[in-house]
Amino acid sequence: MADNLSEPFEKSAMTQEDQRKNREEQRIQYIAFAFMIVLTLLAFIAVGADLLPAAFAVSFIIVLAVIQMFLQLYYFMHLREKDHGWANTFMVTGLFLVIPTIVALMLLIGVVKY
Amino acid sequence: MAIIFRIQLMYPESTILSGQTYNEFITMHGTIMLFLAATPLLFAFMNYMIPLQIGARDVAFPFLNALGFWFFFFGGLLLSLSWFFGGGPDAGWTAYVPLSSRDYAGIGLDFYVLGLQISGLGTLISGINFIVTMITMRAPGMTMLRMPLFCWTSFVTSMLIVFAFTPLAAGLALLMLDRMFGGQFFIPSEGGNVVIWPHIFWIFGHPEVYILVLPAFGMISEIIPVFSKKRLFGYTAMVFATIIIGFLGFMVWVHHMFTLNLGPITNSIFALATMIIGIPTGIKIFNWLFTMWGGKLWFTTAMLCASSFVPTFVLGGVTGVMLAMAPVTHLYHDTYFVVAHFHYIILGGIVLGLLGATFYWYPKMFGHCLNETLGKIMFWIFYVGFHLTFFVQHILGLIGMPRRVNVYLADQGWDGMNLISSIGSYMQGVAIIILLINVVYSAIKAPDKPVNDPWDGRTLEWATHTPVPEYNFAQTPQVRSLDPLFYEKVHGDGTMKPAEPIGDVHMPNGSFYPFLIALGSFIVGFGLIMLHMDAWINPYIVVGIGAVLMFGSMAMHSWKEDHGYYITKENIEAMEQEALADERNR
Amino acid sequence: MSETADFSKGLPAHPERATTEGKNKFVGFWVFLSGEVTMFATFFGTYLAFETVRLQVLKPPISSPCPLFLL
Repeated sequence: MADNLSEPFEKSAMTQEDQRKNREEQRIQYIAFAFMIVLTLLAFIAVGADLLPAAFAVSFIIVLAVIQMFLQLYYFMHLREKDHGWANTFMVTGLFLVIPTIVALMLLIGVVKY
Repeated sequence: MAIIFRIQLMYPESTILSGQTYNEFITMHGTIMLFLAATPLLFAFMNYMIPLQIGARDVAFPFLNALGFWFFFFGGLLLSLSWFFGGGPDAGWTAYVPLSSRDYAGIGLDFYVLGLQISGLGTLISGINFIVTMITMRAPGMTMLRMPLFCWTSFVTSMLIVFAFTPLAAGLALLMLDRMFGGQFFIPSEGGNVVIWPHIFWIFGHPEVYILVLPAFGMISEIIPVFSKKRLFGYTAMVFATIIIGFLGFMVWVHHMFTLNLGPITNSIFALATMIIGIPTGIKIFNWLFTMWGGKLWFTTAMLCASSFVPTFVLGGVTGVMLAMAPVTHLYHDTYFVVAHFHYIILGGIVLGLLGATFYWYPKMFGHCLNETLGKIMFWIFYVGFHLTFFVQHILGLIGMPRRVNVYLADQGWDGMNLISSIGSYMQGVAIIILLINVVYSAIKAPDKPVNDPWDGRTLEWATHTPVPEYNFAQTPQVRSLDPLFYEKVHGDGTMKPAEPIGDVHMPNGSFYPFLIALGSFIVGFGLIMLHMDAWINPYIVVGIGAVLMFGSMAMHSWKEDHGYYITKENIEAMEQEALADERNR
Repeated sequence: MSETADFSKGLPAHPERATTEGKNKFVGFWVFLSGEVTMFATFFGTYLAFETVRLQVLKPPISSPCPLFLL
């Protein structure tokens, strides 16, 4: 029985519907990937071109990084699909707890007292 | 150890302990009690009860469970080893940085850093395991809002562990870099900043308090309804109060640092946030009171612990709100008032919860009750001793006795109260010894009085056999309501309806790898500590051996497939028959 | 699923068991990741805090971002 395992299948076991969905999925991933490369290029240009003031360039590439992170999580790690409710809950909880923490750390450590 | 302090502080100008030893003792007392005593005791109950209460066969990751335990064990071992290598850590359990940097703290603090790092990893693994168990392994019909409150509080606790132990790991990593490899994160003369450590520590440390107290809340919420013969008042409110406490626990860490000159707006915001936590806690207190109100109270030892928990915890909470007022905190800061406050929370909250849970779940775990007479004697000695010890410490603090001192002068009005406090602590020690005697005594008497469901329990853990078979439930039960067993007792025939036909049960194989992985991490940690010891062997060799052992066993575990085994249907039926016959004979 | 069931001794009694384990690993992985969020946030937070102090103390009028990245 094991001999014929290496032979190719004639027809995919997936239905037409599944295949269509798969192609759709693939297309979205290509687009997201291209978009991410564009974002990375933008970040390089923003710094390398030496045209923007430092403060703006830094905040600009941080915004790009945040966008990239969400693209990564939601498109490549499939967080946007259904059945990911708990995963979403935990990631959002983590971010929700962390953002005030980081802001507070930045504000509180400084020489300026609030 | 705590009793030794009190011997020391019993009379003024005592010389039993030197200042250095005293510092090492208070550090180890705090660290061991919080990380290595309270946490594992609570985790033991969680590990035993969560799968039973949600009707699962096992936790989600049995392998990780063992791994977490061994990490935890070796972390604790590493910390305790410090006594044999040049003294324990001596910078307080908070290990504030100028004091804990290489310039001021000896090698004991290296043990603190690495021991906590390893045991924290174990705690984190267990936390993830519990969360996943409760998300994916609930029995049919057991919706999230039908889970017993102990499961809910454990769930929130596990979330806090996941989100709070990771900052601790980060902070300890930074401190380790400072101490071992010449980092400058916390050394002001080289551009570091000492205030960052207390921030990171308390970002972890405040949730840690809730990590400890929330499971105790859950235990109380299990015990009170059973012994009041009423369902828990305001179940949904309790659940949401728990979640809110969990969230707010992350937003208040600065209230430990009011006197660090962080500025008025900061202090006001965090004082307010701290007081807001009083609201969900108050909801819980009132729900417990209303559960008991009009109930048919049955004062067993468990119920005594649970009901006395409520007023004690209120006292601790009130002093907490007093401490939350930023301007007044400058007066209370670093006095015995603070000591009294957190001992009211930890002893009056967590330890009473643990004692209650021990008496409540003991028959489930070992098949026989603990002796009630001895239990009540223990409870009263403990309760009186506890209040003697810590109530006078409020007053001591208010009249100005600072904490963390090993000697004080006579005739400041502190002598008498310190004596009372010390006597109280011996009473607590006696109470714990009585508990241990009780365990042995009940075990000897056990064959006479085997029990199955002595308290007329309400939740799923009482629905299976005692002792619990290794597959927990022969058939996964169908849950029809909150307090499922009680529902079946009232509306059904008193047994859980099965949700599946009886069949083979898949079980994981035992494995030796968790032990080896944790042992490897222990050796790595010890090797890192040896960097600053006069060692006869190159520390990097030790680190290398540990790393090879750790990653080697990980790799072995990953590559060697282990599918577990099945307990066959026939075996299960035989075991069920045996358990039923056993129960009928009682 | 990485867990490949061993069917040599016949089908398991609960074929859905495999799916539960997959689901466990899936949820556990995300819970772990969310824990990592807070851990790295602490590292980033520490860095940003140092950076804030540096900016407040030095107040350097940097006009180009290149020196920041050693370009």
